[in-house]
Amino acid sequence: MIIKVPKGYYQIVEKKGVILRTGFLGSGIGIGMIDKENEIAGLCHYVLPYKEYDIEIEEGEIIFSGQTLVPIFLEELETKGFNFSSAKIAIAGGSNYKNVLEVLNIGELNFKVVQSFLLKYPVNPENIILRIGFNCQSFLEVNLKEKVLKINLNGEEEIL
Amino acid sequence: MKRQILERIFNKVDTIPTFPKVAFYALELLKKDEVDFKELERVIKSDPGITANFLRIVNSPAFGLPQKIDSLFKAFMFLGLNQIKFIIIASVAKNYFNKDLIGYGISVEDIWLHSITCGIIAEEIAFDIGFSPAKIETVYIASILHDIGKIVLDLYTKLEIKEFQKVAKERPNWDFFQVEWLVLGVDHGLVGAHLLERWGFPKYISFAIRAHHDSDLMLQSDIASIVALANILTNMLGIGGGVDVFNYKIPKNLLKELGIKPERIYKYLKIGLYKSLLIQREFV
Repeated sequence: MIIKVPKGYYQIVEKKGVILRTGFLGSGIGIGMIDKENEIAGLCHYVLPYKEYDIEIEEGEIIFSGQTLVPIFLEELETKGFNFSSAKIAIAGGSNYKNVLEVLNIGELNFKVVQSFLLKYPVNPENIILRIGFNCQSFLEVNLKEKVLKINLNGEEEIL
Repeated sequence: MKRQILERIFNKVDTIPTFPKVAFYALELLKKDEVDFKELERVIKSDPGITANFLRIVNSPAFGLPQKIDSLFKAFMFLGLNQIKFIIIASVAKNYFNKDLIGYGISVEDIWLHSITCGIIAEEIAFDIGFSPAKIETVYIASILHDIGKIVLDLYTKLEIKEFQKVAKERPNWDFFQVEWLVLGVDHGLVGAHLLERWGFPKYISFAIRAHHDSDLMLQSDIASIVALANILTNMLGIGGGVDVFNYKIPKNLLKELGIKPERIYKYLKIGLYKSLLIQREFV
């Protein structure tokens, strides 16, 4: 089963042959995490960095910013027994144009948001793969069936 | 070889159906001091494709109407004139963006949603900086149709994809439109502009389409600058994509030339994201 994780949402799956995917990330960020031992995986996808940019689409339905979404995502993983120290983590997106104007550098702000929250968890830096700030389209996939993370940069797939 | 490709490309332009007279006439009716909505309904109804798209778009929550709309006339009663014009252009665009652009690596749903979101953001910017209603109309026509040249070039981009990849790798500092020039002898902005001129749109609209990726040209016109900025913001939101998406340079003074304060950018991003999600819900 393939689940597309929309902008402003996250998805966590356990012990299932499920594939989680983002769409085109733009300057938004995709965080993919997989704990192979406990068979827990999650994918978080957001576009705007700070909580003042949370958008209520319909009553009770909110597209969350990174600042709101990332801590909830990480806390839920923790509650489910996710082992951060051995987990593989892929962070992709934050794309920019060829010359980055500071005011339009939302990709970097988005990345800083995830960095700030990840600091609170015992992640192993060697298990983190970053593909941030490229000037091309990127997509992220968390594949619990094959127990891998896949980053697609302009059609070229990298399996981690 | 390139000359042959170029000839074929411009022959292909002739095969693209012209912008519907119905839409031109409807836009003319909407320019009158007193709009005859019965006549407007009659005109739009004469094209079933535009009518069907119009009713689908208008029923998207993005337009916030209090009830389900099943007739054009009822829709007109709830909408502002600019909203009606916007929906007419969006309805026509839907008929052009009717298949995946394989060469450019973008699906039919994504290219249409990208175009509409670009129109939404551009309209917001134009309104914010005080454009007249007539000028706002030109901004969203150019924005919604800015990538129309891709439907002509897609086949050739697909055929020459290896050459595109080779040239882009050899010249990493080049913008994608320069790569298009080297491989095909033309870029999608120029082809789109040519198409709009053939359809009888004013020069300032076709120029905006011509210039939307050219960091020097776009600064020569405020309409082109807005189209370019709206396109940039739409891509940043992750709406659209494709092989060329971020492969361009942005002029350093783009915001300054338009008199846009940096803090306004998030307002445009929020509106673009909000409305695009609502429209996407209706269509995808």
